[in-house]
Amino acid sequence: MRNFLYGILFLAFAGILCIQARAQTQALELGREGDLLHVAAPKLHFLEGKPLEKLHDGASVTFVLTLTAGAEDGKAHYFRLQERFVVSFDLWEEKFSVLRTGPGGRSASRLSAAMAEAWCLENMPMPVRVVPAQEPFVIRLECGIADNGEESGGDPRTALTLAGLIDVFSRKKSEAPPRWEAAAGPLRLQEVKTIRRAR
Amino acid sequence: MKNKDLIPIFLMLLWPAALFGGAQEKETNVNERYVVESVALSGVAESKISRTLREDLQKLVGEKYSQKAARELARKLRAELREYAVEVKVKRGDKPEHVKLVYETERNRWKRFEVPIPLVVYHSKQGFSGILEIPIDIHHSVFTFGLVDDADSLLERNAGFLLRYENRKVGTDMVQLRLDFDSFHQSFNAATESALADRPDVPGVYRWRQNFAPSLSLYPNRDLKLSVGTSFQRFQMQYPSTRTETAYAGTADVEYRRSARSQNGYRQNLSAHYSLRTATRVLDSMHVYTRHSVTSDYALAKGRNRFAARFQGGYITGTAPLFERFSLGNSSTLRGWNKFDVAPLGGTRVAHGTLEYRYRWFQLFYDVGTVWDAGQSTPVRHGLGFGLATRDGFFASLAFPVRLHDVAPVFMLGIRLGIRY
Repeated sequence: MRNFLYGILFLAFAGILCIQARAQTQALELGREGDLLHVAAPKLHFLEGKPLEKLHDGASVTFVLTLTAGAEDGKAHYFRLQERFVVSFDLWEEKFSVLRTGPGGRSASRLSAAMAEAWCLENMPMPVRVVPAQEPFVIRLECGIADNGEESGGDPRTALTLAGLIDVFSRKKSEAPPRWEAAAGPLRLQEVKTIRRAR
Repeated sequence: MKNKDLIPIFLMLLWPAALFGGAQEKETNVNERYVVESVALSGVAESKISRTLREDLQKLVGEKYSQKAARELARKLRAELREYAVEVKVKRGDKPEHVKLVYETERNRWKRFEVPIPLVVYHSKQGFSGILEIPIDIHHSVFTFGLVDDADSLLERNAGFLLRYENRKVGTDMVQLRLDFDSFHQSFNAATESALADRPDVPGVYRWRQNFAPSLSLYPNRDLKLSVGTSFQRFQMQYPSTRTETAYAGTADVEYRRSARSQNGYRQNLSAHYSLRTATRVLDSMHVYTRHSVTSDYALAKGRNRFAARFQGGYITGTAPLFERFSLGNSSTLRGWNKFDVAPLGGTRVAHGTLEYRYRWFQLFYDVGTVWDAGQSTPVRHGLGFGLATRDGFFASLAFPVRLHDVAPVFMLGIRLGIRY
């Protein structure tokens, strides 16, 4: 009986963790412009759901985008780029503003939701030289939300990682932050289309 | 003018631009260019918060909106309104280029009185205990299903499930209804079974136990919870013959919790709980007894230092089944001792105290207590230990019984849900 109960307990834990970790993978489009590779994900929309609600409530939301290039079998990693984009929604103009933080930070304003999403990806170029010229490779994009600690201030259970686990079972559920994923490949460098972007 | 003389002038001209550039970098929310038209609090009367905080909120009016300042005030609101959830929302103002700030609050009175439940505990002498609860929260109703395999809280190991329904707003959020149903199979330690042979006055072991417990709770103010209810317990005794017995009891609980934070940084928490269970023939109970139990906690913290003291006392009159008897020597009482060495049948009287000091994650603790039956004398036992404990419930500790022989340490590890002090 005890082993059976622990089995159920383990499966329930694993199931809930899988559900929390689940992320929908969308197709990533890759284009080459000179010495740079640019990604686009027209079907990936991260300005939606809870983050969008927060933006409409006047808060800013920090998205962390991670772009990786690796071998088809996942054994070799060629490149990794992580950028943070702070998005806010102008309550009067009803347009989005985006700020890329860090050195050489850039910003754009008066954008629609789709334009804001595309702007983030446009600002994550990847040098052509980092991917092998002949070997097939895979490009992955992950998008998550940075915890700014805004809501965790008053509730001790949402502040720490362990508390996050406990939150799954606690009464006042705090939803796991959403994640989005997109991927392209395996493909070879020769197969990447050359693009010419408007300046 | 020489060319090098132009350099300082050029730098001076760039200075305001550099300042402006810096300010631009800091502005991460596009709405920070708008002026705050009004600040409102919803879901709670303004009189519930301190005058200082009310003034701080109103100071935002007429200023440029600052997300950081607004969040800081939300944090202060959460600290003052402990049983409320607080969210800050920014809305378009009535005047152009102005915004309104609304601090939305939602009252969760029950949150203040959540009982610490061991989620997973490993005790090197008593094994694993685990409780998994899956709550489904639908508006004011919460349905909970739980799986239990617990050897930590009682003399028996309970394996089974629990079902719970809570209505957290029966007409008003001051009244809460709760229905509990538990169904457990029991297994007992060999020490308990053999000790029973010498104690015919103590009711014996049982194979299964079911409990149905409806209760009604009243929250007359933010610090107090009063509950009344009944507990209908049925259990199958094993000896001398298999039969079902009952313990139908009326229950009453009084809980008090108070938190305070002084201006010099001291945080104090005080809680006290009195519980009464009385099984009576009026309810057609086969076992007749009355069980009183009282616990109180006090914690004083400043910065990373925290001192805590806890007291537990109780006594039982009549003949109570094993699940009602007090025991000491688990993951939270008389740490370092095994409860089956302390008193394999528990007792009808208990007194226990704990002193604990924590610096960040490191903790030192001292437990003292005794459990006995009326007319018997038992030694007072002491336990000492140290370990790691995080504010979110994880703990790992090593405890030692204070005695002259067999000083074998007890290792404990687990996650315990509870109120943070």
